[in-house]
Amino acid sequence: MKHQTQMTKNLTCDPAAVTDGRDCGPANLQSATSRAAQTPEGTGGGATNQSVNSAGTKGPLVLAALAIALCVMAVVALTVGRYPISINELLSLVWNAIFRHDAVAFGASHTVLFNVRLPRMCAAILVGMALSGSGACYQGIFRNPMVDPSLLGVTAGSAFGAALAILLSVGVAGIQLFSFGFGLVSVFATVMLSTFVGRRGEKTLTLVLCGIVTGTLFSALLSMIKYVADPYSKLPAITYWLMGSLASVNMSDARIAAAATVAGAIPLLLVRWRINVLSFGDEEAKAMGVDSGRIRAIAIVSSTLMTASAVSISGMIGWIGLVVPHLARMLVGPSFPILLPASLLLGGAFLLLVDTVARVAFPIEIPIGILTAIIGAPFFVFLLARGRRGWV
Amino acid sequence: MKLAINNMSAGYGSRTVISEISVSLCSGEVVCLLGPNGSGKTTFFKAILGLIPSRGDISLDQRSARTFTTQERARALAYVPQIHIPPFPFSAMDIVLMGRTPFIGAFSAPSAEDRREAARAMDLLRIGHLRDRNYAQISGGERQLVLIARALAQSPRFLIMDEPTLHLDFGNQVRALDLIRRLATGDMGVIITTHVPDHAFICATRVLALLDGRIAADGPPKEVLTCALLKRMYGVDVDIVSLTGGRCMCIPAMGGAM
Repeated sequence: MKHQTQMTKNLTCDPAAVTDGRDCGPANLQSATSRAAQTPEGTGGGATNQSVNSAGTKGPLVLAALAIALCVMAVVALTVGRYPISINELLSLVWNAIFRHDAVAFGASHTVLFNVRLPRMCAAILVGMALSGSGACYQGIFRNPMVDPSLLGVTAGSAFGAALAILLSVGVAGIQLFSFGFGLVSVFATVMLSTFVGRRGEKTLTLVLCGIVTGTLFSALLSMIKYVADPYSKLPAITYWLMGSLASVNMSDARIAAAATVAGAIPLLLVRWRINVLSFGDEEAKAMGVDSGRIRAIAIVSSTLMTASAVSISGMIGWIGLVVPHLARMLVGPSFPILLPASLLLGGAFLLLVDTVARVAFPIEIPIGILTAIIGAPFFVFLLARGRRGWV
Repeated sequence: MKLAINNMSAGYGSRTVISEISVSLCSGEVVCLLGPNGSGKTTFFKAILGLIPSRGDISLDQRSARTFTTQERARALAYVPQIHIPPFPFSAMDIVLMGRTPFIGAFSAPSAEDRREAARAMDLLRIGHLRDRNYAQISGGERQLVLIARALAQSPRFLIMDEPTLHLDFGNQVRALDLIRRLATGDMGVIITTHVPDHAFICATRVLALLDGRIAADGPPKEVLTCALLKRMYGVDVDIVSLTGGRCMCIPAMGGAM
């Protein structure tokens, strides 16, 4: 009842406007617009500006808070561990490294900080950013909050690539290269397959189904490799890789991951508004002037690049790409231009936190993929229980 | 502005749904597209909007629509889809802002000016108070108005509405039809589909009757909507009753048993 009276009020509260429309004939929309703005009882003027301001300032504030959280987390990650480094020591080490280039002066601390912790911290941030950013992007363009970056088969392909490389004993660089390459191949295969299958009008659904096909195929191939792998040397290596870990990351890995993540994130940040509109489906987006095919292609290529590079240095780290975008959406809302940077920052901070816990909290290091799932699973149940109000 | 469609055919894959449609529509008109299920109403819309490929010519003020970019076309033709709920909790303002996309550069986000335009479109429909509400939590009638506001934010020359009265209660249906009539003034035309011929009597200046993908009739509602045409379109007997105010209504003839 309340709603109905409200509606009545909305449309008829200014009877003059209604009569104008009918009697004066071609009073055009522009004049009607200005009339509405001038109507004293209307909600124009001050209320408009207020809303614009509130929508415009909350997001940047949250982003700033997330950036600070990431920096704090970075300092924590660099200082804690089996070889603790105090804040003062950290500062003087950094000062020394930048201005004096004297590696021997601090000995072990210098090695721990710059050869072990710094690359690992960078890798954790980058992998977290890559997985969360592409997760947010995929959830938007596939219009499904249950989606994560592995949707089109990239992680299945990467896992197969890494396992194959381990089986063929091609070394650490080879594992990364194979993993990255097969990740890309897998998504490419998905896209080709969906083009081949065709089905006008249901392109998104076709793409998702083809992603399931490719993912299943590569999982089967992975099982085959595990089956033929030497159970005493190769199989444990494959299993360990699949659990995901950042323990063996060095600075050159981090540099490659940084390049790929930046190369993937920049196009997404550029076409952020178009991706936002794409979450209303291809047809509506097109009717609003978005070249949906091209924007989706940009989104998929960028996300695949980020995810494949992340998986190639860290192994399989699940849940981040699914859960972090939800968390970011709770903080800043679903609008992609603000959701993407929020997901990137939050993902970086979150994975860095989990990696630090994995490194510090237990006597032996727990593979990070296990921890993200242990933390992620109950959290996701919480989201499900809380959800149903339009997927927060 | 004039939307001229000449000899247009369209369909899905090898199946042709609408064929050889020629019609020209002007701003200021409310064109009501009537036709039974499967007669090609939605296909007609999709073809005009360029969402599916079509043969023949579509031109806007003598300029072929094929030469329009997606963005240019969106500034001329806006689409109001059937009410739906997106998977994410967008605010009404978020959604209306998306209507500004044809004016936003490929690498940009909405400016303050775009926000003002979106707010203006909402105020025009008197839904300014819904600005920060979650679109998923407002009523069906309000959702319809938000979608119309989004289309108005495109400042189009033609508003193309797919069953704007679907899922609305009786009062909101009447209000929506009244709004449609008011929107079609001056430099904007409205094209709607509906399954209720009465709606054409209420708000349309012109009826296009589609039957098996072809135009079966075209003209003012009172001239076009005859018992014979309704029988041909829907396969049921209908009486058309003239009311005292001059309006007409369709009354299904139920075999006289009542």
